Amino acid sequence: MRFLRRCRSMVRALCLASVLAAGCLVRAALAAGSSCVSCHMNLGEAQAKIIRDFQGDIHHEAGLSCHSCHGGDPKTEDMALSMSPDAGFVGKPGPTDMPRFCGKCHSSPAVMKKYNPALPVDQESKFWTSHHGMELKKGNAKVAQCASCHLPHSIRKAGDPLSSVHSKNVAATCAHCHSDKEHMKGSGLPVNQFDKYMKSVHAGALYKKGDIGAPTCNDCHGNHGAQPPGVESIAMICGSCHAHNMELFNGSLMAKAWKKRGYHACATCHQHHDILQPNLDMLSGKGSVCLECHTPQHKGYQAGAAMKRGIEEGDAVYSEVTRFIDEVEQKKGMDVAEARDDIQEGRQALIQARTAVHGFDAGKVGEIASSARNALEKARTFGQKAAREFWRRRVGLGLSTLFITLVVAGILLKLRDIEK
Amino acid sequence: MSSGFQGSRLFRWLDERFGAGRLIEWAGHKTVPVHRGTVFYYMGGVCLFLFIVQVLSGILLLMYYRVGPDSSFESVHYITTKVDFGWLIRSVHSWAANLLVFFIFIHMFSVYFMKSFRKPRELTWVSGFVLLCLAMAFGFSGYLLPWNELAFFATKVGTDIIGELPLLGEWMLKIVRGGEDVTGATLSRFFGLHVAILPGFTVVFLGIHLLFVQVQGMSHEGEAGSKAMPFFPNFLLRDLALWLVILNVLAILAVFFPWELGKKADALASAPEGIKPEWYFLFTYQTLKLIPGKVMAVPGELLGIVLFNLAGLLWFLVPFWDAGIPEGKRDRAINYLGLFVVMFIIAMTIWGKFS
Amino acid sequence: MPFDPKLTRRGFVNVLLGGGVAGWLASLLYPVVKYLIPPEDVAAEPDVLKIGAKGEFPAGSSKIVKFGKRPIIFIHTPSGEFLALAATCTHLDCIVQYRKDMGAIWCACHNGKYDLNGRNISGPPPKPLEQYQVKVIQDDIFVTRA
Repeated sequence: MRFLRRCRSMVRALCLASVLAAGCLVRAALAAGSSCVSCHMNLGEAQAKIIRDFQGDIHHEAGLSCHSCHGGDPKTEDMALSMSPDAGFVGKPGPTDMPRFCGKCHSSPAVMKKYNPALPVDQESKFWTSHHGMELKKGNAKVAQCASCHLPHSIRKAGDPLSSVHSKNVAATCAHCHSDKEHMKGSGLPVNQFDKYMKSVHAGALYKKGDIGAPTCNDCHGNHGAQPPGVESIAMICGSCHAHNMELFNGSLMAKAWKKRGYHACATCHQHHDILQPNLDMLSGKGSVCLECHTPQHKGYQAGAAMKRGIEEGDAVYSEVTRFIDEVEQKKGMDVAEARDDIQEGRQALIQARTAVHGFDAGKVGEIASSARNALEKARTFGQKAAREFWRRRVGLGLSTLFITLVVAGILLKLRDIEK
Repeated sequence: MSSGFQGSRLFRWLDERFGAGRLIEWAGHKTVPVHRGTVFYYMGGVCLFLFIVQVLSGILLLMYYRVGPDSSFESVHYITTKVDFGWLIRSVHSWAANLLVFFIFIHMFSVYFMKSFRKPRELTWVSGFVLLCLAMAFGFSGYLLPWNELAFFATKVGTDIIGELPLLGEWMLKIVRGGEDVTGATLSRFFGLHVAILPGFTVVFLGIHLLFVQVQGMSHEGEAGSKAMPFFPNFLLRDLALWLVILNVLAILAVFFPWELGKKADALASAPEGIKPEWYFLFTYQTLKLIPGKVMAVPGELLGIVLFNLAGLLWFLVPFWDAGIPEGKRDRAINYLGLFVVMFIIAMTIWGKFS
Repeated sequence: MPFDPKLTRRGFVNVLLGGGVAGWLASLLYPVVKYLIPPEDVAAEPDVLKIGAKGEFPAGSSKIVKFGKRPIIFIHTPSGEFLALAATCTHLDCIVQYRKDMGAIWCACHNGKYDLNGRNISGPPPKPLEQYQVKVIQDDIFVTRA
């Protein structure tokens, strides 16, 4: 094992070394062929860093170089010639020019086909439909454009964990502006979305469980076409993952009533950004979201209370049985794999019962919850049998020990007789 | 008891046909020396008893065990969870296997230090050494049969060593594994080895071993003039009592420390941390690990294997070269060598356990 | 009758031995006999499961059944293939369903999708579904472990 680990670290070191060596080689090659590099390398740390960063940039990987975006002629050492507008030099684009600057290539199917045929070419046109794009068109240079999210000179693929737009980095990238009070001044937007999101069940799944499938900012707002979803589309957006919940809700009596009142289908109960792990107290009791419309005497409120009761009972049985089975397994050392299967079945049914709440049919929820209880009771029965077996083994051992002691004592007495 | 039986009609019937009287007389002529080390004379009997336990519990396991990559693990799991007392039979089989190897070692070293291997008992030692090898082969092949993760990887690592041998290594590895890798074919082979081939050989060598002891009697080497007790019935009754105690210990171990089954073997899974062979292979394993990768252009593993085989051969032939040592130095040389071997095995086993 | 301590002592030892041996034999034979009696629920971990007659499943239909303890999904695809896959979603253990309209296996919990080979193609599932083998013997459909 240790040998393997040593091998692995050696391989890692080799890889690192070869990457570094390759980087040096490339830099050398770039420097040899490009007057941009040979000059800018010596213009201070900030400029040198750009060249260093660019080694990891996707555009560098694709074989592009400085002049591919900035224009100019890297072949001549004469600064006036190499950076002359005649040679196509455009220099550093301002924020308002940025979409068109990137769009030169990224909006052109003919160009993109050469490098990455699978990549869409609609980012720029989508961008102009986004709030960011519309504001930028009005001349508001504070809004996000390409380079705000895709850090220039170190642009990486979205799947690269180092990328600023990797799903685990998106929230921080958006928060860079959206959580900055100074920056957002005058926009009329709050700056607490990031903090709210980080408390949400989605952030928990993404960061704590490492579930890359869990949604971050752009999964609901879109990325290049970023917009806050309207009242109409919010259910569609949640439903793109929570399809079954949406189906249930749309089929329920509640959907029509909510539409009339202009309520958000999902956010009314679950909020947005700080979408917390839902709990049963939302159904009845002081914190119940039902109380927004129903009085405690309403049949509708009673149904909520009934759903809560059914699931709560199931939960109680679940934790009780799990604790019992754990005890049988750990303290008594019995095999309880079969009970685990039943517990798993019960857990699944309880999740289903929670989902079924969105159909607002107390009977259906109760039915599923009781099927969960049945499975859990089966596990309990199995555990009880295992616990009995545990004692049966000890009693049996005691008995056989007794008999063996008797026989051994008899033999020893017999020996005394013989040897006397 | 015996006098009552020897007067009976059944005894006379047997005596007339098979000479049962002579048989009993023959069995009775053996005596066991009585001194401080008498306890070691029980070790061989304990090994015999544990072997009988293995045969019986093994036969019982065969009633439900189904060999195959899709059924081995499942059937052992079935035995331990579904079959009444299956957990007992399986745990007894595993525990007795370990105790058996342990007691064989005790038996061997006590015989060694008492120098009972000397003339005329050279062949008893030789057959005993063969039985030790058979027991280890039993252990190695049986370990794979539940087809769980630990067994799978331990077998993989263990058989890899065979492949290190020059020239014939790869070819032999293929024979042992039934292919390039540890697969269902290996399982079938090990099963056949464990339940048919090894038991056959063991019965033959065990028979020879016991026959030698019976024909030559117990060794009274160096204990001339000391007391002795008749083997039958005095020693045998004590033997029986001890066997019963051992059986009880097995039951206690099975109830309080049931043998685990673990996870099913998965050829594609990465090896779990800390894969180690069974404890009785640990000292060899640890030593092989210590030898550097290359010793003067010879691969370290190969060197280790050759050294171990030479040491084994030397140990195997002890009765023959021992006779060549001058009388005055002989006992001391044998004692020092034995002490070194015991210390080496214990130290390497402990080191292997905790490294 | 004169009291003979030797005789009663021997008698005691014999009773002790006889009783002990009888009890010990019983405690040895009981587990062995119980062990040899095959347990009743032999089908707890089946190797083969009969799904039903071929006629019950027109093309495009599916059924969720339990293979031992684990749910599996059996599908008769519109192209005429028979498939069987584990029915537990690899994301959060919900039960998946066959959606003829999508030509895919769909998990309702978080909109995860698998193609008909069980490969996860969209949504959060991190791993493919485990495959089982389908065998048609005469007119009956059976599923076995792959």
